[in-house]
Amino acid sequence: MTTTSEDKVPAGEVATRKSLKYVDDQLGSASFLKRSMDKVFPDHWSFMLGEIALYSFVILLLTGTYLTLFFHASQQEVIYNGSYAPLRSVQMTDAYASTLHISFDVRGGLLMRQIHHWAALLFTTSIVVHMFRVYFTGAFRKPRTINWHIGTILLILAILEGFAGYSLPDDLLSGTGLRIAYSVAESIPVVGSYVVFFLFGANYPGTDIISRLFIIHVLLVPGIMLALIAAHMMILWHQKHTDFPGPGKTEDVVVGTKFYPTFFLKTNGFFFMVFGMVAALGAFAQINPVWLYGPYNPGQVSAGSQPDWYILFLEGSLRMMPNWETHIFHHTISWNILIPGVIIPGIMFNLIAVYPAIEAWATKDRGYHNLLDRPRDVPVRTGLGVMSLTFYLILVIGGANDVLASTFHWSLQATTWVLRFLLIFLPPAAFKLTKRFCLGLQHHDEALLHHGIETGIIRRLPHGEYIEVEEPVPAVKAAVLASQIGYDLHADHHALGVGGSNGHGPSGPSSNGHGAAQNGVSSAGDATTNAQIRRPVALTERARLKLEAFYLGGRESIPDPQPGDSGSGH
Amino acid sequence: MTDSHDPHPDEVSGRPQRRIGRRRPEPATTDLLSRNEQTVDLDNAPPEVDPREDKFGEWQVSALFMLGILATLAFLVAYFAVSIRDNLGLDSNRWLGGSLAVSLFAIGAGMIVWAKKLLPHDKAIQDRHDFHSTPEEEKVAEDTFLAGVDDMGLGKRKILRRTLMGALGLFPLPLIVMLRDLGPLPHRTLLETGWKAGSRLVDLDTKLPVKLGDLSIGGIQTVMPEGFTTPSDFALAPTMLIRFGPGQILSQKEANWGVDDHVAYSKICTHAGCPISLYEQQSHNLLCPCHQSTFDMARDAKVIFGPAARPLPQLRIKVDSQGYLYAAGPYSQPVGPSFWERR
Amino acid sequence: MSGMDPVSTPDATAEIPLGRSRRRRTAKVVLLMVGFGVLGLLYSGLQPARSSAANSSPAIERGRQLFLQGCASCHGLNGQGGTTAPSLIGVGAAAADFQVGTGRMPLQDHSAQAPPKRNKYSFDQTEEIAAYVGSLGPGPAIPENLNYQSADVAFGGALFRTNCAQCHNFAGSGGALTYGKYAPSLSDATPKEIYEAMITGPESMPVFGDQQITPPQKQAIIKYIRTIKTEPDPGGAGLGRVGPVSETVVAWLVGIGGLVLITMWIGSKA
Repeated sequence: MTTTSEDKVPAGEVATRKSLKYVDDQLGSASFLKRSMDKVFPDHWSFMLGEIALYSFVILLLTGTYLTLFFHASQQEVIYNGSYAPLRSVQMTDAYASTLHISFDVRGGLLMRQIHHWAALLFTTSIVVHMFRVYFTGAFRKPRTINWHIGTILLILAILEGFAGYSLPDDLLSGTGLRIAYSVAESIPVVGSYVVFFLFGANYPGTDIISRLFIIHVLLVPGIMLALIAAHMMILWHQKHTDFPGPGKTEDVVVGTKFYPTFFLKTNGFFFMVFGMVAALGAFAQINPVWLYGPYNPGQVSAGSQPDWYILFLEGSLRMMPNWETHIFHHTISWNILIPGVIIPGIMFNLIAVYPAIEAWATKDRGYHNLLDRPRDVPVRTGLGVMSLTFYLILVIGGANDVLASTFHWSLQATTWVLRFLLIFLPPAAFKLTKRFCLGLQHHDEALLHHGIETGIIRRLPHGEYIEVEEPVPAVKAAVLASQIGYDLHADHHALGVGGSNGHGPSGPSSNGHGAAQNGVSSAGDATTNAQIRRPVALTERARLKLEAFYLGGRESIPDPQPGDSGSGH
Repeated sequence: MTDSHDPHPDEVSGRPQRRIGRRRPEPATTDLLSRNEQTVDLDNAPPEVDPREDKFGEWQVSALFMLGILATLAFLVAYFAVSIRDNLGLDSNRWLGGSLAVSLFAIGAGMIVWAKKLLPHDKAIQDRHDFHSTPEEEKVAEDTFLAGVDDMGLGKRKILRRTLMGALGLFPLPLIVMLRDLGPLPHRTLLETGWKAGSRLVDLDTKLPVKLGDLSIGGIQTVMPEGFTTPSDFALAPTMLIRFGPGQILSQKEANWGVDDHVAYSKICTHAGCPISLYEQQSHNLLCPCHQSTFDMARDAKVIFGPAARPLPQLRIKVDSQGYLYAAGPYSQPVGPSFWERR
Repeated sequence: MSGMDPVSTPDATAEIPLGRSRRRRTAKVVLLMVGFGVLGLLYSGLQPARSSAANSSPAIERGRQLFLQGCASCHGLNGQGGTTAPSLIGVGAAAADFQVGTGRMPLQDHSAQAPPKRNKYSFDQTEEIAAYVGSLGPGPAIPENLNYQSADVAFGGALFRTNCAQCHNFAGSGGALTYGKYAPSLSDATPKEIYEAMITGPESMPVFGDQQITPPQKQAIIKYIRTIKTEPDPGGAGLGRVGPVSETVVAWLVGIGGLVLITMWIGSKA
């Protein structure tokens, strides 16, 4: 977009006007430009997490392009003769030798390599953090479900892209990673060995994989990602950003700062800050020292062979898996690789993709949501999120079990066993705890709104009674609480945040959103009553009712302020 | 950009109109652009600025930008002045990266301070437009689409529909078939390791043949079949030669396949193919550094922990008259991770 | 390069005197003994006949006194071993020098593996104990005159990656073994200790005899270990040289953590 900064000098102003007019004459862009500059963005620090990902991607494109100027994507065997003495005269592939060349003989080359790698770690990290922000605040709900799907695909592509890039230098560590990736693909029943032979061009390792990964890494995947990121941003731009509830905030308006100039200046400043952060890391924290790893050799390996963090969960699941293998009709199915390497990640990414649909289906929530949920107001969703996060974290930690064991002098085998148990028992516990914690916070909010803040000041009333002075909640906070707990607090309070936030448009509290969800509960109640009379209910509907009860039940742990409350499912 | 798909009313009316289909939609009557998207400033009264504070903010921002300039100049100086040969390039990396980081941080911080301190605190409110179209618009769009389908006769002209589907269905096939030459079919190469009957065991690094007794008791050596050029030619070949103390081998079969307490096992893990050789000479445990599969080398490389399902294959070795160790034959079973065709 | 010849010539052995010349049969028994570590109870029945008594050199006698005070309670009055400790007959002076010199012996408690500690003996006392243990039976002597400086560092690196990196990690930072055992970091190991460890195979570590890795090749490995230990990390802080795990921690704590702080600063009121 063409936004030129305003100059105070009249000559500059004339030039600016001229150029803007030139563009408008060609494209008719003036009204679009005006609307864009006036676009309002809500202010919250967590809304900038996605920006970290965007800016890391830009940095990756810049530094990556520089690296391609020197990198040779070739497995041609050469004898290294560069500056790094401990590897001189060693036989290695050209890919590895050119990486050494970039690191030791190109001024700033090592810096670019390190910035590229740190930016890749920040890219994947910020995607995950951004995704959890979107999840816990319910920003994936209608109308933003398509964008959630695009984001999911971007996450998967980022992981693939990262792994391809990590493998390119053909060092001992990445070669080991590639060896495992080969074995995972090879384990796929029926077609596995064909897949890997076509991918690698021969029995492992062959001589083609580096050049093939190179074109995947620099053209194919980034091209798709660029298109998807553009779509992601355009949808965001079109739909306007979500916002947290607060005074004056409704489903129909967006409150914040205008894109131009405030937000524009801030976000550009933030780009430089992100770049500065990876530059600082590249300058002062060594990453992927391939010269220490040595060239790849299928007969060698290093202790503590780990992938980059975004693959650690896969590594962890491979490490924790029991050794199951089936031999049937002269064929082998190696569950010990198939389950942790293919099936578990498959389930994880599919769950991410279908979650919005599941929640909408279960809660009958068909409404539009521009206001976000506070995590505490949707205990089940928050609980499920923390549960998944716990599961994922244990997998990640499992991927580093040997480093943990050697750092803290634990038994490696005991560490693995503990993690295996935690993987099964900790996530459900995390769910229960989180849900309870959320309900407790809701209760606290309610008390706050009704009684105010306890001041600790005790006063004696004229007739002798002692009371504690309570201060009313500050207006802003009260507005947030009121909009969350809402007007139906006394009518039909429910554990799942019943918001003033529900609904798009003026149509009452129960038209859609959680209002609808609530109706869903009462209808669930009705359906249950009906079911007692009329047994056959469609199987899917029965499942849905169960799920709905799972989502919306759970108020039993909050003492009901209104005994007459009758809306609950059970 | 994003709203560009909204047809501008002028465009709609100014364009030559074709009749497409029989149920031609009415021209859209809603003025899409005039939807209430006006931005209203809530707090646009000129802020009461303390001139001294304003001056101070300006000074701060310009100082940050000045720092950015200096740091960029420092980068340029460092590029030419600091040799990449000193300290393996540590100095160069530090100077280049440090100055780059300072310059980027300074520019970024300058912009943000500028926005925070010197810009009017704008707080604006804007209506959100409906995400979905009005029912009439939706109907018009659907009708147009269906009318096109109708015009093309996709419903009635079955022959057209079927041949088109056939053509389009076949069209990607060449593209997929062309991927065939990406690699050979696996066939027997999955089973080939490079070991043949009579292959002498040679050291991975020195490429010198191994003699009986070269290895100390409690020793381990990585060996390859004689004649390998680069290790990558024989990624399944790496083999561990282990020498036990007398009586330490607890399996008769294992002892029989070895020579004089020397035994040879594939170094490629049966789980995910990592080269394993974390050998503990007291416990005779062998650990894989990738996924921690643990093998008991004194008992036929039995799996005692971790995800590997099968023991490591043993290579039967013999000793010739000159004392050199050689393979009695290729591995009797496939080496490395499992795959579908493996029996 | 003659040093790569696995069948080492007498000259090659002469560079680093490994004690009296020994016949292969003796060597086998000796190296078997070396294989016994602190937990080698199973094998205590395999002791060979006691070797000839210690000679009368005063150093050995002083070593014997120290041995009686500090070691004999577990290893027996004559180093023949006990229920909790292996026999030291034939392990050689190198093994004793390594174990005592790195503080692994005397043992403090029975964990999976003896941890290195501060050596409670002086340098001379350590040598004297080693001399006494060496006098118990033929075994590898303490290497002397390690002139590894001229060795081929690149070839040493290749040997290191084949034979050492799988346990000690690519940069010698150490790593985990099974059931609580571990390969220690090599960053504090002296060239002499590295050499002694290779020829004696302490505890879990395999023995790398001179026929497998010749003395010049061992020197090359030491040269490589010393080179990468002393060389700077050109990219900045080495993060422990343990690979991507520490990079993960930095990316999350410093990278994302720092940027989140920045976003909070941007979002805060001026």
